[in-house]
Amino acid sequence: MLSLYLERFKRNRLAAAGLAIIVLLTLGAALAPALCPQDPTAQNLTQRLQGPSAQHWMGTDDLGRDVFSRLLTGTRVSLSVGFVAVGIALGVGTCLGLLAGFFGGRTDTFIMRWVDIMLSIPTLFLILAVLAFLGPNIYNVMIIIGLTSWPGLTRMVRGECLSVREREYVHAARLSGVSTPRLLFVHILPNVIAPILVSATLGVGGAILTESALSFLGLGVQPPMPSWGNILTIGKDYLHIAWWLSVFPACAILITVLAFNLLGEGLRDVLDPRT
Amino acid sequence: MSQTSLLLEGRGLSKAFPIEGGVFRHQVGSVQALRDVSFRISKGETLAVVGGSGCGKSTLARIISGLLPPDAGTLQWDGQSMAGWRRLDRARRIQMIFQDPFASLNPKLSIGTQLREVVRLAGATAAEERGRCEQLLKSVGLSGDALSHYPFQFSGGQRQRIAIARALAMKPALLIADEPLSALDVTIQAHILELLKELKKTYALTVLFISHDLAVVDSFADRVIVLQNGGVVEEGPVDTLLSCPRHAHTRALLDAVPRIPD
Repeated sequence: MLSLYLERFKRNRLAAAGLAIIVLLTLGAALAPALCPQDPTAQNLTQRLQGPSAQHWMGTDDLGRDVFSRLLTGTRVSLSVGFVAVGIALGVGTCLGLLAGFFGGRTDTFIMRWVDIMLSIPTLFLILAVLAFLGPNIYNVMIIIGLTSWPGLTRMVRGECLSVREREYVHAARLSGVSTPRLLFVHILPNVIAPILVSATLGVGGAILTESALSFLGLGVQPPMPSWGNILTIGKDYLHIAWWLSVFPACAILITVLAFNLLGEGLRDVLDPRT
Repeated sequence: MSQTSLLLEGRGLSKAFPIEGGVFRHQVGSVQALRDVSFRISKGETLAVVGGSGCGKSTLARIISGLLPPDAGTLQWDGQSMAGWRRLDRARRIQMIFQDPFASLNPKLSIGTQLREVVRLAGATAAEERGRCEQLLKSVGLSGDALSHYPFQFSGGQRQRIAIARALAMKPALLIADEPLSALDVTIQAHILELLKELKKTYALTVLFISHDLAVVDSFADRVIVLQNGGVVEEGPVDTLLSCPRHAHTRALLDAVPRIPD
């Protein structure tokens, strides 16, 4: 089964490219302290707003800090926010979706109306309000993005669970005396996991975008700690004289989100039994 | 057969399924799947339930197995009510094999995982598990190698054998077989039927055999009940019922058996 998926995955070049980029970025983020040519927070006011050169590959910012080092360090923020937020959403969304789909009735109604309420709130403004209240830092950002992005997942898992719980193998397991938690997590979950994985992968890209937007607005990662969003904030003030301050972080966001989307779409093709 | 003791008795079982419709999905009608069905199964006997499609055979099987609650009626096991039974109480006494062996095994779990969990629930210790699984597979004519494989690696007949092994793991007294042959090739059908006959003997099983194939019923069952539109229309020992059917529906079912001219 797994070898079939691997075979299909290898043939899907775009997905493989996406995965390669993600692996590279993850390695870069993990090894950032060692890889940075310069201290990402060291200021050097004599070298402010310099263009890309051999010494500063992506130039310097308004305080003379090396943009490449700051971008590389920012990768850690983006990826960790992406993974942790999606991890939270995955946990909450999958559990609630399984409960709603499996038990039906009032449980289902309660959970799904809650989902409807969550989906009808403009998420970004909710996040802004909560962050303004709790104070902006990276942990709050992770948690709040995670806690606002589960409803779509719940809806999807519920739908899958509704169909899977009526399959004969679930009936058979139930008749064998298998307990309800085991039925949910051992028998049903593996059969609904494919669309969950796809949507989680796409969700990482979304979470990274949200984090960048929050940092751009000053409610995410706080300076001097670098993140792609707050490098862009500085960049917008100098757009007419220092293009490198905006273009490189923007490209980093674009490429990363694109990589996750390609991987997600690829997984969809690979895991879809109909293809 | 008439002298043996009663294992399971159903009295006045009824079940209706609602039909929902309209903008707010309210109930606009219902389908009466079972109406006032009563039956008795004695220990060690094979009771066949026959009827055309949609007559309520599978609904009856699902009610007895506990997958569906009846709207009305009672089930008595050995003279006692089954009302307070927990899932495991039921599993230790009643097991079921399903029609479609391609749907009744979890595609994402290995045969070992699926057998082992039942064997464990049946009370085997960790040390006994593997041996017990292999023994079960052997009793249905498969080797222990099957444990590490996944359902998609087996043919329909093999899967049905695995499903039977899983049902036997609990050492049930009653085995419900819901059209266990109808999804299989004709040659495989004969093998599985032989296997069921053999296992019935070795495990001293009582069998509730649901089928629309009267030839199979003739060779396997002791007694037959005939369902039509959710109600029992005829009941009796297999020999008399099949040789001189009294009800028109039974005759119609008999006439529907394709015969190959000699």
